Amino acid sequence: MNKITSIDSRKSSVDEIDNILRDLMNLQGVTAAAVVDKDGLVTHIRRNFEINTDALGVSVQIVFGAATKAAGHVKHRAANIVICENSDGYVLLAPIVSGFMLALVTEDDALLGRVRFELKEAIPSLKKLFES
Amino acid sequence: MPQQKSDYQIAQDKILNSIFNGEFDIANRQNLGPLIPIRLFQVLRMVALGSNVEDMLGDGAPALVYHSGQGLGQVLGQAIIGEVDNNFETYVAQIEQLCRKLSIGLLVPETIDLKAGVFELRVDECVSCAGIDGVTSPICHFEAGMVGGIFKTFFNQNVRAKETKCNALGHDTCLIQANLY
Repeated sequence: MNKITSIDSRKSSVDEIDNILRDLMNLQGVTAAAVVDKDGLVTHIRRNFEINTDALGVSVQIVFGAATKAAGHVKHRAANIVICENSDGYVLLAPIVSGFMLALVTEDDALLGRVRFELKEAIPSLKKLFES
Repeated sequence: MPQQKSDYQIAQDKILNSIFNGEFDIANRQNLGPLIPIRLFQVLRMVALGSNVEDMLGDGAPALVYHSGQGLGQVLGQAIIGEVDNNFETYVAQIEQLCRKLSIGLLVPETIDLKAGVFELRVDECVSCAGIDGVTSPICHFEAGMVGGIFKTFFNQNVRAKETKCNALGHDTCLIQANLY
């Protein structure tokens, strides 16, 4: 019985993570939402275009790691969100817990403030799911 | 118009072609020969591609090292896969031989569950962590990535590879678990 509960609860967590990513994808201009583990592997993803998930995952960890180091060098303590402003859109990265990261990819018509706000709102919920 | 290769890519092609062609002698090493001390390799692996990368990337370092290993694993896998007629056992045997020849380590399959997509591969005498101890977590991210890349190439599927035992932790071997997903 315990086993059944455990499998169900894991499935339920996966569903909840997927729901959060789906909600983020519903924001204007958001084209991909992914969770990346500490080894740079994408564990959950929703996207509406083809992505090399291996390359995305490792880039997320490298960029956030470098940003965290840079923040430390200028005594800004922890990096909370990294925003890459590109020619055709944005990439936003935020840590969840235990090395897991949330990454959002947007087109250039995305409302950056809104996306950033929703990203910050999503983190505590994801954190709870990853801790459970 | 094809993208021009970077100098690192040119060097990579030269090195890998030389390995796959079984060339052992190296030009411009008439006196010193083709072998180097293992500690020099470990300096490149644990310092240049380890603590120095960690200085720049912090917690992002293992992901970079894993990805580098995965890239190499995919290249090795691609070089071999054409010769094995889609036979997994032959593929692993060829990889074992190559790793032995290059002194990467002695690969021993511990678990192969094709149905579940779960594999465990032991790396005895692992080149990266031999003679290292006192660490607090597994340090062979490169080798884990390499195993991931090797399996990824064969199955053409995403693979999560993780080192679950490490010689540097006192386990006498490195054990890498790979899961298809």
